[in-house]
Amino acid sequence: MTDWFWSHGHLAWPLFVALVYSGVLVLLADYCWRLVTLPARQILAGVLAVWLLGLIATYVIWL
Amino acid sequence: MILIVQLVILACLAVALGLCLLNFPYPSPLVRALLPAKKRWPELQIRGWLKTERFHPGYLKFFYRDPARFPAADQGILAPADGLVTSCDVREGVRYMVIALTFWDMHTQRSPMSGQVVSVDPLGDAHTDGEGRDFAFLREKFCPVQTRLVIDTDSGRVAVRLITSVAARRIETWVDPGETIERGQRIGRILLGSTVVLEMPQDWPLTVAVGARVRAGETVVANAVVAA
Repeated sequence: MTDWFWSHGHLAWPLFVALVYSGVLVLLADYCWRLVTLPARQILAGVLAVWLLGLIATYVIWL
Repeated sequence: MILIVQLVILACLAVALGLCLLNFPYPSPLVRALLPAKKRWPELQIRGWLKTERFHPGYLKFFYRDPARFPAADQGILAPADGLVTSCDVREGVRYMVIALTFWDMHTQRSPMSGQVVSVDPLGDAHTDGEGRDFAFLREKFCPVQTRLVIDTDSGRVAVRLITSVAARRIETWVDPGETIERGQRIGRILLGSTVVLEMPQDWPLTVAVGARVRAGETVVANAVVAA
């Protein structure tokens, strides 16, 4: 389990990827929200779906 | 080493997210440059700046832009301002073409025709606020802050009213009475103002309709008819 958080003296790659991915996604979502005219709820649902898919993909790749 | 790189990347991301959060609901400096003007400085934010008078320097630079304009080759009457034509009503033989400017329009005004400046009159200095529509600009006592430039041309007399609100209250004019000006020449600027009205004889045929977007010094809005 430790491998998911800490490995060989640095942050484990899955955790690092998940953090970077989440942060970048929030920034992208903020940008898209300003450009498109969709309701905020729809954008939020879309972002959450993409975020979950990304996390699942990270998990699958790491396994 | 890997840990340091990871921490630097995460720190950069944290700063970006922090900026995003600090500026919310308005755009953070990181995405501002990537957005179109209207989204870069939303109207609500600009109205807030009008109250505090602390404008974002980037917005002021954008607002004061003054690009070169190339008048159409024919002798049509040019739009004096960038904006939306909201009215072309006639009153007592004069057609008043009202051009509404938004916060994102270029605010330098240009002469609609060549001619001689007859007068530059500041009007309505300390009265009620207004957007210059519904002929509010004609009211003698309760008009918005405005400056009226009258130009004598070969085809007749035209006038340009630069109208602003009490909140903004600043109009610059760059021509003086007696001066000869060229078609499309810069004549002034409304600082954070809202409306420009072009006055011309009612029998001059219009080439644009209400609802059209026009560009100062480029769009031909009417054709002058020389009186017989």
